[in-house]
Amino acid sequence: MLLDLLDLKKLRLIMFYVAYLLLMLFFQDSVLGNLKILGVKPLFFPAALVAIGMFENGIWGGALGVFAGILADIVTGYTALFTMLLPAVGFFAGVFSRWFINKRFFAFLIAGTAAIFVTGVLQAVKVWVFNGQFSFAVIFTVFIQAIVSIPFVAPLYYPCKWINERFGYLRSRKES
Amino acid sequence: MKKYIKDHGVKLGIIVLAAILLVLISTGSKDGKAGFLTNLVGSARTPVQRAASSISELFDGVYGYLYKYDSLKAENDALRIQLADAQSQVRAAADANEENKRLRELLKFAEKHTDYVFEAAKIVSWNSSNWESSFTISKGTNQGIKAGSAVITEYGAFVGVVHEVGDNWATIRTIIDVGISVGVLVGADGTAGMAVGDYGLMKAGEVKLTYLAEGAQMFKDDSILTSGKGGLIPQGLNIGKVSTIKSEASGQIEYGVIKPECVFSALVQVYIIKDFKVVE
Repeated sequence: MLLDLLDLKKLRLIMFYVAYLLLMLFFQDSVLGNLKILGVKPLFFPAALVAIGMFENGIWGGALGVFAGILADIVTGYTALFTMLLPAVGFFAGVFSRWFINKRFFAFLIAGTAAIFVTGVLQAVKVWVFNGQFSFAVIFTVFIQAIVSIPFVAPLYYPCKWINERFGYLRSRKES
Repeated sequence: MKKYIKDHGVKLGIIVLAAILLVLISTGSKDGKAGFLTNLVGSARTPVQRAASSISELFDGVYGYLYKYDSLKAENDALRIQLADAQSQVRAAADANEENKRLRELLKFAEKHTDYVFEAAKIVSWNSSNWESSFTISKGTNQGIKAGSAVITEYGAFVGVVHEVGDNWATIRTIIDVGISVGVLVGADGTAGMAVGDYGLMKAGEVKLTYLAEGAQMFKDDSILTSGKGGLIPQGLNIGKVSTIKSEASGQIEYGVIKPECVFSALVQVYIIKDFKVVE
């Protein structure tokens, strides 16, 4: 039977993460897109990939990063920035959480903020390369974007933890 | 007689009393005013009637609650739907009213520029990024919109240019966007220059005026109009005014800061100039 070839537990897990990412992207675009703190709009979406990479592993983070990156590029209008960046964010979050950092809340908060900072740096590089502009305002935006995003990064930890505890990849492997 | 009264006294008494009552009732309300007995009975009857009415209403209410609950609930639901419809109609009417005002303003502008072909479009969403100033509209190639076309407000103020077009959508780069570059005419003498997006100024809602012709001067409050170079944007669209004049970091070159005429935060609907007569 073709159905036997499918791992339904993995499919269920993917569906949960896809729903989680879609919800976060909607929140990023529709809610935070209209909110300015210190003149800067918060950006928290890359931290969602950090959470997935941390709780599952780098492969899952990378694979879902491709999906999230394509969607984010469609929504934000960037050429391919998120499509290239988010798989790397998800993959390295998995690698770092396996070898260097734990999976606790504060480790996630720091890793998530770092991911947003890296995203900001690449966005600034894009403005520099394509528009020839590099000024104090650009550097200021990179830092402030990372700082004002911290309160929005924090809640991303718990939905992923919940999904992982109930339907996580490693857990489903142990059960089978 | 005595025996007769003894045997039929009660009956006689009742008959006599009834006769007296009849007389009192029939004679009591000659001039429309209630007689003594009618008044007495009426006064005594009123509180009893009130009490009876209250009890009746109470029972009626209990009956209604028990037996008419479903029908009342259905009626309530139907009324809620009607109310929602009515509120929706009021909102639609308010929207139509606002749009009507904008179109009237556009009509004044269009009367001066009869060669312009407009397409009205509502703003769907603003870009959520910190790195650009752009928005998406609900019209695209299906409505004849082309990349590079000029976008204005109902007052004719320049908003920006169409950057990317899909079948039923398009993204508009505003005049303050970091990636924009538009040819302009400065001041009364119409000196040529360029309005170029600057990241620092974009955050302040302004745009840079630079590349002025050699020897040309600009002054504060000089009006900035589109030059029409390139043929995609008509000449003479109002961009804004020079708010300040600054020097580049080297101190050698001056540039102006343009405060756009368009209030981006108040934009609801924009008008794309699909076609116009090119002035040679």
